[in-house]
Amino acid sequence: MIEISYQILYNQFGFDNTTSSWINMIIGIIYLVTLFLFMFGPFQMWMYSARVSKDLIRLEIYAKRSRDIFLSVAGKYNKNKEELERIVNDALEFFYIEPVERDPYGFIKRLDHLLNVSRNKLKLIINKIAPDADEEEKANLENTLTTTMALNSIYKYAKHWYIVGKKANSIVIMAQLELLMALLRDMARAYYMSFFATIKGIPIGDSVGAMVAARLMMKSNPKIITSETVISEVDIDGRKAVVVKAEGPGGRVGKPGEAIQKLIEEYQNKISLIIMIDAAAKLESEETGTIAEGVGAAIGDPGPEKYKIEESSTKYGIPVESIVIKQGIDEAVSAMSKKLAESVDKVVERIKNIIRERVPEGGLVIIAGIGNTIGVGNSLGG
Amino acid sequence: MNISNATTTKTITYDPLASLLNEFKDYKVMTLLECTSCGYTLERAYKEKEYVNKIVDDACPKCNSKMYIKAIYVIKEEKKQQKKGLFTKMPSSAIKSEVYHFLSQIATLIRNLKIFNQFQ
Repeated sequence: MIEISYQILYNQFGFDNTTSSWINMIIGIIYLVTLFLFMFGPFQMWMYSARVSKDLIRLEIYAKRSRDIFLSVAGKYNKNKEELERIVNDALEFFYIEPVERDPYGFIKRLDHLLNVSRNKLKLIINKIAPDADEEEKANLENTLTTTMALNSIYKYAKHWYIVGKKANSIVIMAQLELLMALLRDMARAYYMSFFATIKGIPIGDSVGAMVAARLMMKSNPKIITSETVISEVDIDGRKAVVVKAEGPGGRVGKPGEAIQKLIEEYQNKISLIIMIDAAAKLESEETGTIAEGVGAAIGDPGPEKYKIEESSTKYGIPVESIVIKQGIDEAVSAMSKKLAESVDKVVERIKNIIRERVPEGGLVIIAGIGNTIGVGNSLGG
Repeated sequence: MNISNATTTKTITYDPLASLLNEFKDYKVMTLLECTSCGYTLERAYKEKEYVNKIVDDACPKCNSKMYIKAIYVIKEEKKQQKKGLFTKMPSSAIKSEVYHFLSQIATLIRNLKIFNQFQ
């Protein structure tokens, strides 16, 4: 029975147990093995590189368009087109070298110093581009230039790895780049969309923390405590609150960490609580504008500002609480949506509830609104 | 009759800023105003160089006091998308009659084919 069934099977494939049939079968197997072993890899490589190059074109468009947009915006302040192009081209190649991490001692201080130098360098560039613009316009221009620089470096790094992958003919590099490309594309798109807000000087999603602080210090007289950062003393239900925010309405983030450190050193154990308000990245399943409470310093800086808050609050044993307003990464850099603007009132109410519960009457609380303060003034009329 | 061969030159200028703003044509920037004394709120289109907490020239329609900017945000205008299809905006009875008509036409076509006529 078995022999018969084999015979049927052989016949099905035109195999009649002759020498030529055997040779044909072996040739067929060799052909298939060769196809899978040697053709599968190159085919996948071709597929990956095709996808990457498609996204790379998009990144290039964003990078080139952003440069053109910046030149167009800066052209209002600087009529010397050639000089402007030269300054912008130089600025796009600007870099900063991170401090050495092998010796961790004093790393944060060195990083802080480096960030200060880098910030000052950018300000010098903006002064060259728009010497006659007012301080708020300069701050917004700085934001626009930073976005242009970010888009340029995203494109350059992606292209670098694409060329490396092609040169090495490495399917592993290309596959990793293809995985990353989706994230880079979304990030570039978000940065590109942010131009609309930075050019107009209107609040972005990240400004929600600053907006909360501005609402609280509305009827007070704010004063500068440190570089680009203001504080204001307000009364909330018989408690003294010192509100901290970046100096508006230009696009600045200020130095809230340094400001809080100074306040802690000034008031020391008199401070009952520190409340920080910031925008936070939401999970895809979460809704924009969701408010969450937690503990710890809510600030998304490279490290120095957060370190200063943690260090000084630990020294005096002051609890640090945070309220975050959830939003997507694209929403954080784009013009503020109505949903986020509506969440400001709810956050203010929550802050008041926390203060009533946690701070005794006559006590002192520090409230820090973290984030870019573009389009958000300090107090009424100022 | 003389026909002049005048050629018109058209210069195409690329304005990156205009093209960016064109991408946001569906977005409307709004300003929310609040009265400093009675708390009356009013939403209107954003004007240049406005920022949150700025006292504006608009007077409160209720008590004529000064107003300040409470918030600035964008609203995306939802466009009513028309369904693109063969039977869009057609009542069901009309769809039925269209389908019957289409089927009957096919049936007539098959009946008239020469290949079937040969068997008859």
